[in-house]
Amino acid sequence: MNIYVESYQKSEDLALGTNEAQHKLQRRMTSIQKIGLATLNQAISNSSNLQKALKDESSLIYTSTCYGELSSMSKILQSLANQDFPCSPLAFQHSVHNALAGYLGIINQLQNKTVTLGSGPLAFDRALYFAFHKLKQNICRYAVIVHADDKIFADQEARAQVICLSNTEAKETQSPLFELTSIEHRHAGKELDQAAPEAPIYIDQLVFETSFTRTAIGLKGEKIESTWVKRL
Amino acid sequence: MAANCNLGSDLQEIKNNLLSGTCLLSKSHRLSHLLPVPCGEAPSLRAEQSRLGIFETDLMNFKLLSASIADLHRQTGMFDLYKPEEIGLFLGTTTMGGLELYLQLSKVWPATTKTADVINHQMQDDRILSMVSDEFPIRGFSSTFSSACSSGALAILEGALAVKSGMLKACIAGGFDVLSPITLMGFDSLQVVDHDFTAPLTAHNRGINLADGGGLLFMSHDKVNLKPIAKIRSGASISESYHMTKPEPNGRGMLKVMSLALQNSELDPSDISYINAHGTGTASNDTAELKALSSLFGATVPYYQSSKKCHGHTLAGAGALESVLSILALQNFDQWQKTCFGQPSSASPVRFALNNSFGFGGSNTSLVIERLIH
Repeated sequence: MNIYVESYQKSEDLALGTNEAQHKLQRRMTSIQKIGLATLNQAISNSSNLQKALKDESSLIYTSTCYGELSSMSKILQSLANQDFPCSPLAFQHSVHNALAGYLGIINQLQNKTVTLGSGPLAFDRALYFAFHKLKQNICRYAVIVHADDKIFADQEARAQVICLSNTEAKETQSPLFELTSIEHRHAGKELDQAAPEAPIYIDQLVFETSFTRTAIGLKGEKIESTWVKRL
Repeated sequence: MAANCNLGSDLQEIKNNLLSGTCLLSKSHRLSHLLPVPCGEAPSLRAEQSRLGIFETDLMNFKLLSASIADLHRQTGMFDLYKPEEIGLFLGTTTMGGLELYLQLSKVWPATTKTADVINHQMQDDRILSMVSDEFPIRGFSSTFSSACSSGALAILEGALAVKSGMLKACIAGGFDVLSPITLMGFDSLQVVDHDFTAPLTAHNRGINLADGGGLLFMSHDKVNLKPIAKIRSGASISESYHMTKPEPNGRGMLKVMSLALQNSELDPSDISYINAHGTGTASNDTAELKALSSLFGATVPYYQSSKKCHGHTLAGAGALESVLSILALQNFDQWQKTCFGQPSSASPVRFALNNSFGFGGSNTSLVIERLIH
């Protein structure tokens, strides 16, 4: 069974939602939540495949982040440091990694199984590993990964990408289409002698290639290696 | 199976405390200077109070987790039965991200590149996986799960599915969380902390008591070398999509996830003998969950309780700790009935328990646990 992937990315040029309810919720959101939602909205409008995926309650949704909700955590920690109580209830409810998943569900009225993975350098690739195997086992027809990272360094922007994986090839899509042919996990149990270059989390950085292997490196020599072929 | 919480660090101790109805929640704990409310503190962490700072939640979680992994190995010999690359670890957590380092980061955030190394290597949930792989021969595909209070149950459900599908030969799955200043003051800001002892699923429910703790299950197909005591028959997880911190008031999302869990298990509601309710002690959760139970089971709701009245709310550890307690309940159902429900024991054998976990963001998970009788 072949696994096909559509990929959408966005950085910080946020368009607020068009309806009032969405607009109201978005005013409260953190940058990571806004960018995740905006990217999903963009992807939905560009992909009939993703629209089908989100209408299908058996589709699996994964959300991942490398660093979590830094701005919310920072606000709470500043309250603690200054003994300024009560701390912000909004910051606290936004501090969980699955806050983005919660908003994606509420705004799009999705009741699918939604798995939020813990943060770390391999968070996106772990989601990819799960999604690939679930599709290979025919547990679902679609898996959607929403990965979002907060602005960390002064020269960075908050970024997000939405990946729609399916075990049937998309007919109508405005995005680069890939085939994910394999994904392997290895764990050396010790730091690698020679550090391999870190794979970019964002797939758009690889779109010029026709086929490629990405090797994502975690801690203690843990690796997730995926092989991709660009569909022309 | 293994667990570690305020009731003890081994199953016998935990069982004895539960069956004697002992409440080990206390207003004297390592965070009482911040908020003098009852909390559950694990004895092993109480003993370390002078050594560990209150923000060193990574180390505290690791202490509870590693003791439970060692306990699992003592029970099963799992590291002698499986190669390291055949065993995965699926772990639910909300407080394993290195709060000490978050605290440092908050002083400089948005950060300069000087903090990049700290961020990349210290501050993430996955760090716990590398701490574990340093200590134990676990090198299979592993992951942390962070779906708030349903994380531990979700890790168990995903672990069971990974073993069932052959993605892993064996999986250690569960979750842990420890008392943290962030969660204690955060829940207090939401006005859902009970300043007295928690009384979930009663007319006196005023909120939660937080606690250290969690549990682990070792799951594999091996029936030759191992004597399995229970099985994750199936389960379900959905996104409730109603509110970030409150359940749908009529319990519709809770009803849906329980119904799906039963459907996936090919069971009827009448097959369930015991329900470990999520039962946080907050009015919104308890009211919705009782409505959902009533809708699903009608007039004959099986024995249900929230064990959080004894061990407090261990957040991401809750679904895992309570899975272990559900298995103990099925194994010792006569005593459970007498202690928890004041009922005479029933003659009919019990096989199935339902374990509910509901979290922020509307993340709902229900597990169906089957007792295996040899």
